[in-house]
Amino acid sequence: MLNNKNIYNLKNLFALPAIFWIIVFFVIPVFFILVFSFFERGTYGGVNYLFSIDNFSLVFDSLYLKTFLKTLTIAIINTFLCILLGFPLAYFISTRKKPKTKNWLLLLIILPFWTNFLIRTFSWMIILGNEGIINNTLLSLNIIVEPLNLLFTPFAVQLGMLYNYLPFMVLPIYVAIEKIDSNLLLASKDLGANQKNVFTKIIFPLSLKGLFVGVFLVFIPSLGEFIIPDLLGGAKSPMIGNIIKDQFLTSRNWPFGSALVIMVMGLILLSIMINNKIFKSNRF
Amino acid sequence: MRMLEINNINKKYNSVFACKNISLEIIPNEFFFILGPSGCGKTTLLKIIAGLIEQDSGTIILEDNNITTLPANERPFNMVFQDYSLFPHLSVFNNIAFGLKMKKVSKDEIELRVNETLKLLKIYDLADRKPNEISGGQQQRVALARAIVNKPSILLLDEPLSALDEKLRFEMQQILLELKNKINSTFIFVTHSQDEALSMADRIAIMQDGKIVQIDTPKNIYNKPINLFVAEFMGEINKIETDNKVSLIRPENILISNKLFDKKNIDFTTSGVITQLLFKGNNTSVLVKLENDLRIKVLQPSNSLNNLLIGDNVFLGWNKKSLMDVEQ
Repeated sequence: MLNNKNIYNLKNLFALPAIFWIIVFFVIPVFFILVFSFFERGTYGGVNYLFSIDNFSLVFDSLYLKTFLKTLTIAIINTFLCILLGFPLAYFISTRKKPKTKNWLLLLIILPFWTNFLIRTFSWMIILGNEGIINNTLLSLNIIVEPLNLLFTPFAVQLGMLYNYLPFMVLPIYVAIEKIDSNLLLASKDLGANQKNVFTKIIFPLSLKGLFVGVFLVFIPSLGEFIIPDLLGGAKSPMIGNIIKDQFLTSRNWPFGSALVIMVMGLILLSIMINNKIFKSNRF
Repeated sequence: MRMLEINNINKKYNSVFACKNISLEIIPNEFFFILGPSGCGKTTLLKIIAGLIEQDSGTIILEDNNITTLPANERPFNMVFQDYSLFPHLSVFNNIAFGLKMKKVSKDEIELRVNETLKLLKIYDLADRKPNEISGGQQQRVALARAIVNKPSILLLDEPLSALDEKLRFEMQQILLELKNKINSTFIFVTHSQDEALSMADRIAIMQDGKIVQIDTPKNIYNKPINLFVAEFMGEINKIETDNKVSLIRPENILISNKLFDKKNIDFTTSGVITQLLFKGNNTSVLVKLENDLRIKVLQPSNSLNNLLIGDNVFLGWNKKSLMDVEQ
């Protein structure tokens, strides 16, 4: 006989595949990386099992610290730009009266995901290149004499990041604004709030929850990004993700690559803690 | 003397009238009820008065000022919403202070008035809590406090008690009546509960399908309903044919006895068999089947029915003055 307790236990079984997956493909590998970061490099990749903290002292070499700082700056600017462009867009979509209009606009936001990420990023090379759409148009209109240097610049990286991450900011903010009970807006008007106050005192504070989710979804992957700087930034402006990739695939210095990964994870944990702290003081 | 005057308000949703040609006059300091079944347009009317819904046509005059086009945030009314609509991100104190802050009242006065209102509604201890940390009854008080702290010239209440259980509802009714006397303000109360309206109102407007069918005191509405709809909505009725005319009579106005009535005191009598007895504590509802198969409902104090049983032959009697003649 299945009594309630048995059914309860049975339900728990359904979580096992996911738990198994996370342990085998996430927790154990992260543990390996942590352990590797304290060993010496093997000659042809892999590790020599000799304890060392040299990898971490190398992380603090000015060359890598600079890259860390640059990565952090790009990620912060990207998050900031996503908020700046994403919030008004999310607000615009959620305030459309017809559900049909909303759905069409949301579809436009999601539409790029129907194409492969690599292809989408690669397309920017065609747009920004010396023979690209922008330069060709400007040249044929005689606005410029020589092609502008757009591709393989920090600008191109920032643009590519903004383009790829904007939907991750728009969607959670949209959901948060959409969830606001319209009676709250009526109540605030009834209590004397003008249009500006309805927005600043009610809509904005109640959409912060979505904004925080958006910050996570944009900032964390931005820190680890390596494809966009690879394709649009060229070899001149690597982010920390590129260096980690090189340590594992080109330089074959697994321990140093692992140490860099641990540092990035530390940075992410720190940012989560800061974000949580801000979020807690604004809890709903 | 009139406080608020509403003239020929019309509001259509798609092709359905939510408010059709509604005209009302509200007297200062009265407890005015708008009563009707759900979907009759009563909440729409209240929100039009508040300025939260724009009417298609009609005017609203407040103390001789035409406020028809005045936006909601500039009207001196405040509303208690059906689902309370407290701001979830603000503490109880800041919810109540919201209206005063919007009007740029000084900090000291906000502090003073909010605390005064918190004490008046006995929720002083909840000042720092968030709305999701207090009970439904407490949220109701906060919603009420948030409105009255602004000293509105008219307080609008949109079915404020419908989400509360019976005991809390009764408690809130008492609080509202006390409050009404204390703050000397005009209340417009929208509800679908005739009990609430009958026990609290100075005057009641009955709404049906977007139209106002009758405005009168609770007693007159109950005893002299203008039509069958109002009669049925305000309480149980029997349809009785006398002198070739159909009249209505309330169950409590029919006398019941196992002995013949003295014809001198009773205008009409008939007889039948008891088919159902429903004991309701203080009262008992008796269903009597007449010889012509008509069923009559009688409501009498339980202690006056001594020992009537199902199947007993009984006599029914009523007087002419209890009959209600309505438009059919």
